[in-house]
Amino acid sequence: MLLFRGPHWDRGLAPEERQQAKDELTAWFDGLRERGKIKAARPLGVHGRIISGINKQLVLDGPFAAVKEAVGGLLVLLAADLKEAVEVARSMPALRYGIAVEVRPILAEFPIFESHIVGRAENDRWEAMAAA
Amino acid sequence: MTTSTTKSDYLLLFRGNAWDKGLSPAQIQKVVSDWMAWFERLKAEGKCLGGHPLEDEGKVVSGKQRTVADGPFAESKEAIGGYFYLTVADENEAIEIAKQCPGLEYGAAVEVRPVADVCSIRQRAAEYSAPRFAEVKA
Repeated sequence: MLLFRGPHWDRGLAPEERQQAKDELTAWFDGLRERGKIKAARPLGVHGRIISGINKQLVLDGPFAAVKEAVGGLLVLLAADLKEAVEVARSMPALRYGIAVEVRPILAEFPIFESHIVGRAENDRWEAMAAA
Repeated sequence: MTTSTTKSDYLLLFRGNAWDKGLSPAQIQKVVSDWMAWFERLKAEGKCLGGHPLEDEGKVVSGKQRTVADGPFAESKEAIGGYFYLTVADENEAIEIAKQCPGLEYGAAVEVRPVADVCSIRQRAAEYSAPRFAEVKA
């Protein structure tokens, strides 16, 4: 799984730069999709809530991390191994604007989890973003 | 294809991948079973579309030099340990579900985040040109 850190990386870009960044991202994303590398991908809204504490009553405004580190989106990548996933992450065009990409292997030890992610109906929604 | 017009999608990010420290194997087993039962119930209720636990390890890629560092990104207390993808009525329902997380009493936290229809960069870029990217269907 790729977690994109820093949702406001494009602030301060001129309109042309932003357009270029968008085009680069689009091309990157489309390229991965065409190669069948993307199982699911979704951007996240910037706001959120944090629930914590034993009494389960502590509800704070989120996101969890400082804006620079907040998760702005996620992508479930189909890669042979961590090395390939890291290479894909390194090809992410927005890195040069200050975004960071966290690469985390999805745990397959719980087949009960694994068996549910690819359900057909789910996948329709999950892959909605890929339906350019 | 079903058209769910009143549902909203939320992501639960489970924070803290060291909640099991200090617990006995039996206690850990109990929390994991509770967690899976919770997941199954939400699935059966049609409120959860999927989810995954993540490995503790990972890499972080950043910077113009595309530097690769060992991850995860945050300290273990804040690191993301897994996620559920919810489709629910509103944020309140997502929060109520988050409060049921079996890891909470052991120090885990749950981040509730709305899933966006369109990536924010695209949205902002769209102000300058006609959008062609990824309109979400249904």
